[in-house]
Amino acid sequence: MKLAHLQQFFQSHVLEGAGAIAAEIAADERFPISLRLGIYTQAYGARLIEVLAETYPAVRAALGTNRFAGLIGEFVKDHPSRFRSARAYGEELPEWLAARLSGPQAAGLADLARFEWAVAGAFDAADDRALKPESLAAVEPGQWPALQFTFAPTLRRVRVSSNCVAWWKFACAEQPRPHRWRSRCPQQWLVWRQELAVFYRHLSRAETALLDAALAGRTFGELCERLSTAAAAATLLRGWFDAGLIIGFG
Amino acid sequence: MGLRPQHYAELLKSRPALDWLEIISENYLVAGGKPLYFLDQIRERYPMVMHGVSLSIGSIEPLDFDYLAQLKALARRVRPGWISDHLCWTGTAGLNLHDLLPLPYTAEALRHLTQRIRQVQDFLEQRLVIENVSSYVTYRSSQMSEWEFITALTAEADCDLLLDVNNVYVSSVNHGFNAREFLDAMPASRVRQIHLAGHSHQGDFLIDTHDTAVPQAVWELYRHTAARLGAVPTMIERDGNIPALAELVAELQIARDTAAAATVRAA
Repeated sequence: MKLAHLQQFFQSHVLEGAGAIAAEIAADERFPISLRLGIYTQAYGARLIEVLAETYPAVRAALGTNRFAGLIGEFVKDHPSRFRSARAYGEELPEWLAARLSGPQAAGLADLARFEWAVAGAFDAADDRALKPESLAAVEPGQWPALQFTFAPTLRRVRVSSNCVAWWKFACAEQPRPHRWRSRCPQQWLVWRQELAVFYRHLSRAETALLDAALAGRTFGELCERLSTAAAAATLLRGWFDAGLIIGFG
Repeated sequence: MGLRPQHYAELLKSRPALDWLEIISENYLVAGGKPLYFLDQIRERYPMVMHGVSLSIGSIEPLDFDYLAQLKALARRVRPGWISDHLCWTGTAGLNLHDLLPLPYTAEALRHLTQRIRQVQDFLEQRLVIENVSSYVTYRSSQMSEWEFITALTAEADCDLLLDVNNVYVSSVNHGFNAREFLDAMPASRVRQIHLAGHSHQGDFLIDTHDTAVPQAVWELYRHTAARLGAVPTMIERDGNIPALAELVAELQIARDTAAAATVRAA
């Protein structure tokens, strides 16, 4: 059999259990072909479950190891990996959980997965050097209204409508297990990395709107117009500098 | 030994006497953060070699030159002694099974691999080091043994060999061949590196899990190999149940002592 067909048949067996490859495997009396091929099939599912357990440790903590493995096994069957690096696998999990499960748990686990995907993305995003607030000292007063800001590539925004952050803190052993999943008004959370540590914090509505505008390239003058005072915008800006979120302006 | 995140801090703190470290290339093909931070720090103290898991040199898919460009950029950063990957394929039709899948030992596969290894070597501007994998199946279409295939491949592609003694042992048990016959057939001048590792049992079947200490059977094959090949850079591969650094360093000393004794006896 040609190499191309052999690989197609082998892959179909691992992904879909297709049987055509068995006729291409040398048989012996010691071990059945089903056992030999089964090693590859089992390893594929187990490996991707392990990868997603590393990416989504809080989802696993919330579901429990066995239920996580069962659900993720289903996800893996629906989503073959197209990525060279297994670390890139699993972005669709939040939406899949939302569709697969029901009740408050569905939205909550989807939120939690979205939050963890943001944390994983911040973990190994690029290391651009953050600017200190003092770097603004050289800016002439007349130049301030036209300033635009560039944000760290580690910055992630997550919108959640549940108490998923309480479940995240439970997984991090920072607080007891929540009694149940709860729906909440939509909230925005900010996730980013400073040096080697990943941080997260809640964003107020005002800060969310201002950050949206700044990320869209609005000038400091335009940001000030969105708040009651320039001082309020300056305070938020100072907070972004202090958190290491700003890597450039001009 | 292999560089693993569990040992980053301890390596920097205790600085054990290691000749070199092997990195999993893919773990450092990231934009930034902790992996690259520690890589640079540890590279200042130890020489390194790069070991990949996703080149998929045997796949019928076209070579991924974006990946190769990333690998080359990482090599500029790490300045490795050499770059290795596996004699296998990992997926086709745009998919990745994240496994080291077996190839048939046919003239067609040999031509395919020879051409691709030469392309990779031209791109990386250095000789590639190819590792034999553990396998659980053999194909009816194979026209030669695995050791005959590897010998022919290293000659025709002009590549080097990473000889994984544990993989030879695992495959020899699973397929019922003589591991020493395999090892004795390896072209000595091509063996650039040796891997040692442990495996697990599924009944009488062996699974290449890298999650235990190197077992006696593998040590014996290593002794046999070292007596024949002399001093070849050797490391212990551990990917699961990773023990404390000191335990691995002690296991590495067994490898050093074994190689030294075998080499002396052979002389």
